[in-house]
Amino acid sequence: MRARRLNGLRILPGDGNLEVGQGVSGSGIKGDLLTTHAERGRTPLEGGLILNMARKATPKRPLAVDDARLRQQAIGAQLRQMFEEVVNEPVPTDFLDILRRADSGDADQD
Amino acid sequence: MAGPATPTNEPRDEEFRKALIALIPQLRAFARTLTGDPTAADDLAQDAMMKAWDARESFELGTNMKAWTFMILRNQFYSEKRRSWRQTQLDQEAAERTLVAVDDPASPVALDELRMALGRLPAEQREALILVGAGGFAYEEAAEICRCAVGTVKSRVSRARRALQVILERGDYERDGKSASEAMGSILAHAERLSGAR
Repeated sequence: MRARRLNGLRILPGDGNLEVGQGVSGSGIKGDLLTTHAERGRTPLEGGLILNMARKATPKRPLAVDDARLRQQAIGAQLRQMFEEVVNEPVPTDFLDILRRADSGDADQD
Repeated sequence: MAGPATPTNEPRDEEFRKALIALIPQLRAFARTLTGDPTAADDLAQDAMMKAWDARESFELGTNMKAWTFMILRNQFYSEKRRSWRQTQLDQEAAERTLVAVDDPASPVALDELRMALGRLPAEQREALILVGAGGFAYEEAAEICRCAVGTVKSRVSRARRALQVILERGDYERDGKSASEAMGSILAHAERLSGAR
């Protein structure tokens, strides 16, 4: 196989174009093999392998996940507080009056 | 809270009445999230309470009364909404403005932001998120209340969470004539204060 270069990547020929980070492993997959600079000099595995550049480069994805989780937790806490705020309000006397009238059978007369 | 006890003919009615009174705060809170308006919410909660009282014979004491009354309230809400769907649609923007106008001015900004953002969610997503995320219901109970499959509730909650985050991060609604671009920041800061206070 003869490699060509594109934007610092070594691209090996194949039957199709697969994306970087697609996480394909194992044999039987035909596609371009993408390697980073760090991977140069290594022998590509047979059968096709897409190397996940993000995995090698920086741990950005876990941070993003943590950030999203933090935001969701903040929204959740806010949501519960919003609900609790109403729950903790004093109950208007109307509610109890209505029930009393219903209880005594007067509700229909109002 | 209940005031002087009202004489009832049957002990079962008395037990039902006490349980119903205990649920009033929760019913008001759920109604508030559905209508977005305190006055309309209390009307809705009172109607639901009356319907629950009238249907008390059909309720089996000892089962989940909270879910049962929430279901009645929800049915009442959509029943009224269907009757006046055109009016509701026309008044949607006015309702959202009212949501801000009637808020307690002392309420933290973050809560106002969340109310505004909730108002932009589709009703079925909003109710699913409230039931599970704030009302303390399990997905199965929420599904029973909303009369849909458990998977549907899970999907609605998930979509609501994502949509809410996007709305808050983009701040793509107006607040006092200005974009609420700092909404998510307010929420995060408030959450931090809450966790620090514990």
